[in-house]
Parts: sequence; C-alpha cells; structure tokens
Amino acid sequence: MNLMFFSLLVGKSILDRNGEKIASLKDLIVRINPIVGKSEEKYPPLAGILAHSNSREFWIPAAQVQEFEQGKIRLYDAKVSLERFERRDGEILLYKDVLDKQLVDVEGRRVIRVNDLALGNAPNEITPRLVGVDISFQALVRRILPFGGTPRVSRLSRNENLLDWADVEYFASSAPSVRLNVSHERLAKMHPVDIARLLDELSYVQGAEIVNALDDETAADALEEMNPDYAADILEGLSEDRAADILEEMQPDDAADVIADLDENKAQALLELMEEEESEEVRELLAYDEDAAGGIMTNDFLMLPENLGASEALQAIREVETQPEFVDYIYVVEADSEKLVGVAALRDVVFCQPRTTLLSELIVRDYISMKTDSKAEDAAAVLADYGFRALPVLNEEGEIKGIITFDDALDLILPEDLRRRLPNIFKNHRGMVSFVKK
Amino acid sequence: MAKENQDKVGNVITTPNETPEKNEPRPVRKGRFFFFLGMLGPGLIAANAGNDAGGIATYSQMGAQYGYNLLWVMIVITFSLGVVQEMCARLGAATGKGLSALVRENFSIRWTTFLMLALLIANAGTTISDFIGIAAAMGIFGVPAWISAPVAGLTLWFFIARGSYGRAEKIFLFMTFAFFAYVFAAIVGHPNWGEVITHSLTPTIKSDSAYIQTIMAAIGTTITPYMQLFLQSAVVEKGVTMRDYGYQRLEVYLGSIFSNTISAFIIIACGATIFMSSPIVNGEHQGVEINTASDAAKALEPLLGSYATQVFALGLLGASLLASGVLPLATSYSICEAFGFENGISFKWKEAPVFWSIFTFLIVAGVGVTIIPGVLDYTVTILLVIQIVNGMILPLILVAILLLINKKSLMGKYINGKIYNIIAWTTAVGVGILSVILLTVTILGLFNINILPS
Repeated sequence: MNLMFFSLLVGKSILDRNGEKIASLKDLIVRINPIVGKSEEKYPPLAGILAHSNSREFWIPAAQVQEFEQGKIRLYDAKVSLERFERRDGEILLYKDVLDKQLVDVEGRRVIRVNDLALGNAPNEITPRLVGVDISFQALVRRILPFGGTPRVSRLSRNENLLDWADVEYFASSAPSVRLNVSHERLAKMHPVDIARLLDELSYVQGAEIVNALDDETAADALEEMNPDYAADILEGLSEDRAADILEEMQPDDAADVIADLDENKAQALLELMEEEESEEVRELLAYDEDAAGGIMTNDFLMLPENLGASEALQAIREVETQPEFVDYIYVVEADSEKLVGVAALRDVVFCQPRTTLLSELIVRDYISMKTDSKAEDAAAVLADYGFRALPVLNEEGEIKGIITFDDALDLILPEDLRRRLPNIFKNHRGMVSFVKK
Repeated sequence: MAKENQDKVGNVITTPNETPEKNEPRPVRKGRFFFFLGMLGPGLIAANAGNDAGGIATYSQMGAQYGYNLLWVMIVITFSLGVVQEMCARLGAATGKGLSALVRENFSIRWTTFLMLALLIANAGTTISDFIGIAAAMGIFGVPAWISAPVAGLTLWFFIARGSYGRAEKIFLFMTFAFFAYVFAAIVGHPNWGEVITHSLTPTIKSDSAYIQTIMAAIGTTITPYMQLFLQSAVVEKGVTMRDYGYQRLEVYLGSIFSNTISAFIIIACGATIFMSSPIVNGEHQGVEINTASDAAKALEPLLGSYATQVFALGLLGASLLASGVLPLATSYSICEAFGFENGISFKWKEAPVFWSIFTFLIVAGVGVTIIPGVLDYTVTILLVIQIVNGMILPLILVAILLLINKKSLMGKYINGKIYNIIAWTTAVGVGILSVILLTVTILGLFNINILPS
C-alpha cells in the first residue's frame, strides 16, 4: 500500500474529468469509527474533500472522486456543485480537527501530538482511508520549512514515529463543533494505573471524556490512583448521576478525598445521589480532618463480634454484601458494641482447629491502635516501624472507626523526592509550582 | 442465633450509622479554608517573579533617571498586567491546557514555530539577566562572577534535575522579601508625596529615545512573556476549572496590584534618593544613570545605612535564583509541549533529549554571558536592553492570547467581554507601536540619524 502524507496533499490541485484544475484541496473529511454491519471500521474512510477555488469554499463528496493519489486527484465529472460544507455527525476534518491535536497512543500508553497523518488505499477502494499518525520530528520539519522534502515511507509498519490509526484513540473534544461518538473501547482495556497516568497528562475536559467512556468500576479504579484534586475536576465534568455511580465504586477513603475537593453544593448533591450505604461510609470519613488518622483511614474492613466461632465467622464474612479490599486482619469487637477487643489474622481463623474455636481465643489483645484525631504522619510512622499491614483507628470510647492500610500510609512515608517521581507526578510543571503546594 | 449473628455481622461490617461527633455530617473538611489560601499562589508568585533582576534594574533606573516622572506608567501597566494575566488564567481554567499547547492546536505550525522562537529568545534573555543578577549580588559579597555564576548554574541544574528543587525555591522566595525594604526606604526617604501622586495620575510625555526605551523596558519586565506561560501552566497544574475560577481571578488581580505596588515603591525610593541627589541644571534635577548593583542599592541607604548593599544583594540573589530556576524549566517545558516532544524532569536525557537540551542550553547561556569579563560593569544597561527585547516580543504573545481567548469554539461563553478586549487590544497595539518606534529609532541611530531630540 502506498502511503500519502496529508500535509503534502494540502494545496494540491483537484482535476476534473478532462484533467483541468478546478480547485485546490483545503481539507479532507473522514467518517470516524463508522459502524459497518456489526463491527467498527478501524480506518476512517474518506467522506469528502473540502476544496477552494477563487476564494470560494465548497465540498466534494467522496463518491465523485475517480482517482486519488499523491500527485493526482481527479473527479468523474467536469463540473462540481459549489455546495457549502456542512458537517454531519461522525465527520471530522483532518486539518482542522486532527492535525496538531493530541491523541492517546493505546499501545504506547502515552499521549502524543499529531505531526502529520498518513492516508492509504485499501485494495479495490478508490478513495484512501486514514491509516496512520506521524509523530516524527521529520514531519514537523516537512511542515515548517518551505521545501521540507518528501518522506520515503512506502510501507506502513508500526514504528516509533509512525503509528497505526488502529492503535490510537481520538478525542471527541478535539472537534467541539460536531457531535461525535468515540467509543474509547481499547483505552478501557488498559490497566487502571495506566489510565490514571494518561488522565494526569490530559486536560480535565479530555479526562472527563475518557472517564465517561469507561465502566464504573474501571473509572473508579483509575480515579483512586489519581491526585484527588484532579479526580474531582474530572468528576465535575460528568453528569451527577454518573459521578455518583463512580464514587460508589471507589474505596470510601479515596471517595472521601475526592468529595472533599469538590464544591460544597456539588459534594452534597453527589452524596444524596449515591446509594445510602456508600454515602454513609463516605460521610463518616469526611467528618475527620484530612491530616488526622481519621482522614486517611478507610471504614471498609472486617469487623466481627468476639462470640463467633471460626466457621461461623467465615460464613459471616462470605455473606458480606460488599467485600472489603483489605481482609488480612479481622477486627474483633464486643458482642453488642463496636469496642475493639483484639485483632485476628484471617489465616488463623481459616486454619484453626477445632472449627468452633471462638474468635475471642484467636485474637491478639495487646494490639497497637491510633485515635481518630492522631496525626496522620504518626499513624504512618507506626505502620512502617512495626511492619503492620494495617492499623485500627479508635474513637475516645475505644470503638473501632476504621483502619489505616499500608498503601494509605505510603504517601506519607515516602520521602518527598521519591514521591515526586511517582506516576501521578511525572509531569514536571510540578517543579515550577511546588512551592504553591503543601 | 446464627441469624442474629448474620444480621449483626452484616450490619457492622458495613458502616455504623452514626457519625463520630454525632452531629450533622459535613461534606466539607476543616482543611477547606486553606483551599482559598492555596489558591493564593500562582498569580502572586508569577507577579512577584516580575521583580527579578531585570525588574529591579529597570525600576531603579526609572527612579534614578526620571524621579517620579514615570510613575504613571506603572498605573497604566497595572491594568494591562491584570487583564493579561487574567486572560491567561482563564485560558488555563477553561481548557485545562497550557498556552503553548493551545497555540499549537489553534495556529498554523509555522506561526507556532515563530512564536516559540520568539519565546525562546525572550526567555534566554531573561535567564541571562537573572544569572547576571546572581553574579552582581554575589559580587557585593566579594565573590567574583567566574565563580558564582558557574556554581549557581551547576547547583540549579542538579537541584532541578534531581527533582528536589521545591524546598530551595521556598528559600529563594523568602529572600525576595528583602525587597519590602523599598517600601520603608521610600517612606524614610521623605519623598514629596504631593509630587508622587501628581506624577502617578498625570502622564509626563518626553520625546527622547532614552525615555521611550525606559518605558519599553518597564513594560517588558512587568508583563514578561514567560510569566504568562508560567501562570497558565500553574493554573492548569493546580486543576483550577471555571467552577472555582472566582478565587483565581481575585488572586490574579491582587497579585498584579501587589507586585506593581512594590515596583512603584522601588521607583519612589530611587526617586527620593538617587534622583534627588543628582546635579541640578536650570533648577531641575538631571537624574543619573545607574550601572552597577551597588549603585542601585544606594536607594536603601536612608533606611539601612551601611547595610543597604547587603540587604539589596540578598533580595537580588533570591529573586534571581528564583527566576533562573523556574525560567529554563518553564521555557523548555512549553516548547516541548508545543511540538509534542517528551518532557518532564522524570524523563532521562535519552528519553527526552530536546527537553533536557533546551533546559541545559538556557542555563549554559546564562552562565556563559555572565562570566564574560567586564559584563558586570554594565549590569543595569544590559538588563535594560534585555527587558526592551522582552517588551518588543510581548505584542506577539499578546495577540496570540487575544486570538485564543476570543475563539468561541475554544472558550465557549468564557470569551472576553468588550472592556476586556479594549484594554487588552490597546495594550497589544500600544506596545506594538512603541516597538516599531523604538526599532526605527534604533536602526536610524545606527546610521547616525536622530529623529528624536536626545
């Protein structure tokens, strides 16, 4: 397949049937992700040419094109109707909406900028399709300098600088004037951490677009990995119903961090929309200061009364509606209160004999705990010093309110320098504004 | 029993229904108040960074040479600065993108290249002026330029490359508080406040080229092109959106007023001291040209006596270090953002060669020019020339900002209002005309043709 570079087509003559120039090419219109039969087409087909002649701008439908090659664009007719171009849904202009814009390189898990576009003819098709994205430095030079030279790429192969269109995803927000349905199907299959990294690099408008296309669970996982402040910006760009659904799926402590960064009215509205159970969990966490142990703890943990036997306990755990993320320890409380008596390792409860052994016999009673208003940093330091995987957090009455898991404490323990290099900080203006932040 | 236990378990594993304080649940944390304080960031810092080496040199010269005559310029510039910075903050908040990314996406690739080149020149100039500032300040403490500049360059490079620049930045920022001394120095210098107010409100127009050059330098150093880039990136980085934009706007305005107030006090302090002690011809003070950092420090003498030069040097050092750290990074970042090159300090040299090259080039250029023997004898003159270049590049950036912010498909309902457009376009066109005049005068001057009385 011969490749044509879009930047070299711009300004080319469009010939009529007799080979006479009738206009020059201004832009190309393609249909993005059209659905043919059941499956989406990978490569957007040409829908038409935006041409101009004598300072008039008009539209030539793809069906009128007889020949389309790098050096030659010829039409069937000798005449064209000077019809003004009006966008239809799903159509984008290569110059206006794609060139110089950002795309996600799904394979490379990064955001790229389009330096040029590659078009190619599929066998038996007259008009070309959009097949590739050139992100090379040469493409920039070619467009900047008046005689930048012609590229000698003849075969489309995925290399560092020429990406297959099927491997990238387009943002509908790059073409604000048209309604587009971009599925982001491939992006949704990425690992949530990778999605979070991408979201960090994108504007909040693009971020909201991506999150909108993810299912609730993936969206929640990705947002958990992000800076809460930025996750809040993205949620603000979604419909309230959708935002509430995503918040429900998030870990309550992460959800609380995000909600705390929202505008007060918006936060209240979202809490109202969430399922009562989840919103209660979040509300409870929100009552704590964010620098206190209560502010970094989660209230999603296993809590059982001390008078249960081992197998009863396991049965009870299985029947829990939402399974907590952290199940290594079971927090054992007095039968009719939430007063913490001791901590049992799940392993001991699973393997102990006889199976009727009461939880009260399996627990460690001299556990180390934090108060809800202890300093978050102290809690993190204790976790690190003792090498625990989690710490219970109690109120003044000795009732357990939540636990701090190691990953929650990680942010506070890591030295600042190291934290700066972690994923969600990999974009550097942070260096410029670090003194603004805490 | 089993049933009861299940219920119990089901109940407790999820959440207890009471909140710890047993009062109404609040969705807002105590930390919320600090949100507002946190917003008081990029604008203030961007504006304060305007008082870097170039700024101090320019404002000192304005006061020393023309007394209070140029105070009106600062009033006019404050409006322009506020409007320009607000536009950049709004661009950032509405689009979530940096200025150079928007330029690339909305202008042709050739215009983008041209603007980025202009920016590179302006910022290279500013970086040089800040390294000169470092050397001049250290010179006061007896450290020669050929030691201080390379050491500062290497240290900054390593601090930033290792990502541990944050704390150093705070120290630099703290050092710039030394410039508050100007406010008190101005008061202690007993200026004629009546005159100060008159000159602030009524423009004095002189048609000699030095006067125009000085105005141009004042514009160039106050509305520095790089500051607009920086402010917008900072707004984007902080995740400010149009929903919480109110605070940001307030902060930008306050920042502009604040930084220009300090600038005005520098002019007043220099006017009350250096200018007032200049020779009198025909009953009028003639003003003096200042050349070195110690000349400029004289304005602080009435307040600080023999410590004046040291305090001045400390402030100058802080401001210069602050800017010479941020500037190369911001410039390199912006240019890479426009062209889609990998950028960020977390990338290795091999992964982001362009980013590191530009960054390193700017620091090397700053150090290189500073260690040329004799440069420090003309500190103020060189800094002024660099600010003039900045001023001449400014209209290009302003026009780009204006075209972007008035683009409906980009900004939606957040495009400029009428008054805004009037102020901003007047600034752009005004500075543009001034640039053309200055350029003409300078070029004709090369052929010894003087169209303006000097």
